[in-house]
Amino acid sequence: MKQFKWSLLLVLLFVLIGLVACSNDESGSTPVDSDDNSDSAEETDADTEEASGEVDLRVVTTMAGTDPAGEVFQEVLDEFVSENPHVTIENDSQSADAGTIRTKVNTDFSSDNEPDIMFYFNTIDAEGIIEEGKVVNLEEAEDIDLSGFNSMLEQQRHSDGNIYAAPQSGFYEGLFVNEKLFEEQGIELPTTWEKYEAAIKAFAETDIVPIAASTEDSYYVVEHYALAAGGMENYSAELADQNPAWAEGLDNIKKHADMGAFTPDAATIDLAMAQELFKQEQAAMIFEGSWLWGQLEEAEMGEDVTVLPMPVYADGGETGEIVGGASQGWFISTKSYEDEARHDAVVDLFNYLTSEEVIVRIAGATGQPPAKGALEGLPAYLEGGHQLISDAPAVALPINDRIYPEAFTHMRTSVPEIVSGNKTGEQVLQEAVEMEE
Amino acid sequence: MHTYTKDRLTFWERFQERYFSQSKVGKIFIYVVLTLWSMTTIFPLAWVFLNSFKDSREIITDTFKMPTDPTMQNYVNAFETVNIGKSYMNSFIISGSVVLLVLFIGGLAAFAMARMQFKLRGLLQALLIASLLIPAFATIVPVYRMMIQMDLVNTYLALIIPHTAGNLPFAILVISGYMATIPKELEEASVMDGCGRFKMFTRIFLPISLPSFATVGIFVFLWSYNDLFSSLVLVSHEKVAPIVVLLSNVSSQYGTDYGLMTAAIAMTVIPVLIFYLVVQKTFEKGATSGAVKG
Amino acid sequence: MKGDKLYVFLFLTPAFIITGIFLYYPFVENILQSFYKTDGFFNSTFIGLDNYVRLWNDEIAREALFNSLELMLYVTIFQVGIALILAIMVNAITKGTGFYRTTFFFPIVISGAAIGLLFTLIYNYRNGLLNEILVNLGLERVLWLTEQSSLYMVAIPTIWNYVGFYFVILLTAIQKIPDDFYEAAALEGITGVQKMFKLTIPLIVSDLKTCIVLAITGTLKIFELVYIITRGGPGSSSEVLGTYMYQKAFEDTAMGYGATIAVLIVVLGLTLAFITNKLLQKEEVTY
Repeated sequence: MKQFKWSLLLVLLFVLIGLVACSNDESGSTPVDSDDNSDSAEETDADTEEASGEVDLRVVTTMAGTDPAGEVFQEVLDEFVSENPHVTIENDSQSADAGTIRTKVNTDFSSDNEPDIMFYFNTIDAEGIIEEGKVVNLEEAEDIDLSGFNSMLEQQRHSDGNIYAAPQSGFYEGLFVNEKLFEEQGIELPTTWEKYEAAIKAFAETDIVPIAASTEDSYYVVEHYALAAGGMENYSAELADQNPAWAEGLDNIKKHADMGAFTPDAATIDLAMAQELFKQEQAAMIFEGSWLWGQLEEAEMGEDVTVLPMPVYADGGETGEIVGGASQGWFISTKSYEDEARHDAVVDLFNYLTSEEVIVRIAGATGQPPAKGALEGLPAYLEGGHQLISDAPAVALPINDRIYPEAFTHMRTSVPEIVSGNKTGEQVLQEAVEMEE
Repeated sequence: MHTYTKDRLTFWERFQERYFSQSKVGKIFIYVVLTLWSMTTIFPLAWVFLNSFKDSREIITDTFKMPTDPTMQNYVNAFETVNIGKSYMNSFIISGSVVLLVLFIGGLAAFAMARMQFKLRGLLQALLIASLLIPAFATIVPVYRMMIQMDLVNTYLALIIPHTAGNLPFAILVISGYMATIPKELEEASVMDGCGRFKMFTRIFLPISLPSFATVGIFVFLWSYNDLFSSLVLVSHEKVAPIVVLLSNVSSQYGTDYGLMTAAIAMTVIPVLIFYLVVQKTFEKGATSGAVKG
Repeated sequence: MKGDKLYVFLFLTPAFIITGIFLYYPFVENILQSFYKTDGFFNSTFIGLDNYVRLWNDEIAREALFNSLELMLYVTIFQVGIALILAIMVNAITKGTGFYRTTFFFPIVISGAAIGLLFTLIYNYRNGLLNEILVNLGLERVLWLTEQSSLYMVAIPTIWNYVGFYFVILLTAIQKIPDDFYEAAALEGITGVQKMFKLTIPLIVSDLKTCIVLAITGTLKIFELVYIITRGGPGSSSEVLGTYMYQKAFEDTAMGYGATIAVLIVVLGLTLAFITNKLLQKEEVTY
């Protein structure tokens, strides 16, 4: 009996080893594996490519998983391949939720394994890759077409004055309000700071939570309170300035928390739970981004909700200024651009992906404002959001896209302590500055 | 073998026969405690299965109620987007290989660690414990780099090798802990019989330790099978991706589509439970019917 | 035994080659990183021991350290303790063993993300199970996750989740005890609870030791449950080393500092495992 078990196990082992070996052989001849890294393999690759004109491209994007653009993106790629039969494309996209994409992209770029084209965060996340010269300066690349973009292109300009990424679509953040609840309670919409505070007070007396928020994952809350206290000019300040408006904003969060603006467990819920409060109509307001619309539509409450710009009370500031823009863009890796065998295919694919037609198609899947052209036939509430952007006197990216991540994490995760009175806004800001140094 | 086949009651069986069969109170007490605990453990699984038939909204609002309007939509969505069969297969090839490699290599090492005296033993023991403490987050980047260099990214081996390495210390510790208390007389008897070390391992220690091999095998399988983090980095391509990767693609572990998430969990859990039951049935018997008497 | 050297070498080499290349070597890289201020990829500056100095002065890290140690105490006592009691009980019954073995295993197979969500939905202030029960009883809602309670509230699911794991290991161990040991004991008049302490536990002490080492090392790495249920909060009242390291290394791209925390985890775990080993050494019984 025992012997039988062991021979069974041995057989299994061999079968598995066989399977593994076979599958490796197989994949050796399929596109999965053929973007080889060993030098010799690359040479032979290049040789065969030159001879036959066949090119195999690897594209990395975040359009996968729950991102509704994923499906459209794959269709778009398939169409390109059918029109350019000498090109095969490996779509190595991975949803950004999983948190592994940064690790993967950074390791790829630092291990000589970069993708040919990628759609990635053109924020502090790409800083290292850009500084190492791993991606192409698009303005200097002759055959790259950068025409027809709206202001989102300018927003991609890096601190060294060059543009390394072409935008796809933008987003905006704002104060999402449930109009229906405001009406039912007879409360005025928070179009000014005074009305905003009045609304918090009024809702705090009802069973409805004024603002659904996580004070730990307080990205949007922190940003908007800084904007309200300082207007765009102060909002755009460097962290090192220790702008007093930022500190004032942080202290305002405590002031409003004491007025009963948040749920008692705001320090431990996450963004998803805060969204649930809003979607179940247990909360009247929430600071969020334009991606929330997809969820609101699913909850069948798009019609009841409207998005407002953060009311700004600062001198010199103006209500209507918004946080938003395009934080992701299309990059070309220098290695592929300079590789003669791949150059043409890479450029073609890039120009195709950033053409108005494709940009609008992908944006259509998510309802976000496109970087070229416009979406048509949108529901009124989405239209309102797009209007918000085009009417805005000033648009700036979220704070965490431009400052040192550790410093921002410290700011946002310290909000519960500010709320509990253990720290002041100024103190937290001071500590964050020290982290950046 | 001795004539030890007739009355195969273990001591505990006799013990309980003497004290608990006669004192009903004791027996009832044990059953009550065990049943209470099992209720807490059945609860989450039942929760997952029930919720997988609800839509996301209902999962949050009425998570602890029966589904009012059961829907298969979550499963339909999962099946539509993912090639389930292929990814189950990938999972089994990867995790199955990991289990066999870990048990084979780890079993030999455990035998040496438990039953042989040598100078570096203390140091190696410390190394093993240290490796249990190394977080996967700390090693993933160097491992990914090595896989890129060896050109193994998006092949089964890219996950099999690091999983084997990662689970070996656990296997060696548990199996050697089990082997350490096997009676010395057995070892001596086998030396008398003229067994070499290797034979001693295959003839005596391995069969006696089969239950601990089974236990280790189950957990190694489970961890390898459930490891989303390394899988996303090393084998993200659809052709080789294990089931957790594909399901995380449709349900996004940390996202908000709780409906798909629960359906995905239900689909990943079932094979593991089957694996657990099969392994238990096959090997646990070795514990009571094994040749412990030599 | 003569000629053992060769066998020791043969038996151990494969295992240590694989772990050496794919576990120890990456960790050595991690140790090197702890001397740099780096995002792990492009920007790195050698800063000597600065990360360690920072760790020493970091209040949050200190709180995370003490929380981890406190959690470890609960986990080791209750996880292994409950598992031992359950294993002895299951071993003592004849009917339904299979049922309990299977059901006790359930929580382990469900991913941490799901268990986390489950407990989030139990503790939630407005819609959580506990508060709904209170409201139905006509009582006031209670805030379950406060600065005082949050560590206990994450300790409960952590302990419960892995009891089944130690249960399986210990049950396997108990079942290997040969009957004649008990027979001999019975002849000497050792019965009842005495037997558990004088016989069963000493006979599986090496397995118990393994379990305790696993519990210690496991708790130091705890990440997912805490991260999902409390995000380390409120404040940093339930921050543990695992969550703090993840936050530094992955959310904040401070890989160098994250690596330093990883080194702390390994050194701390080794020390504790060593102490445990020394403490239990005396009690080890060889057959």
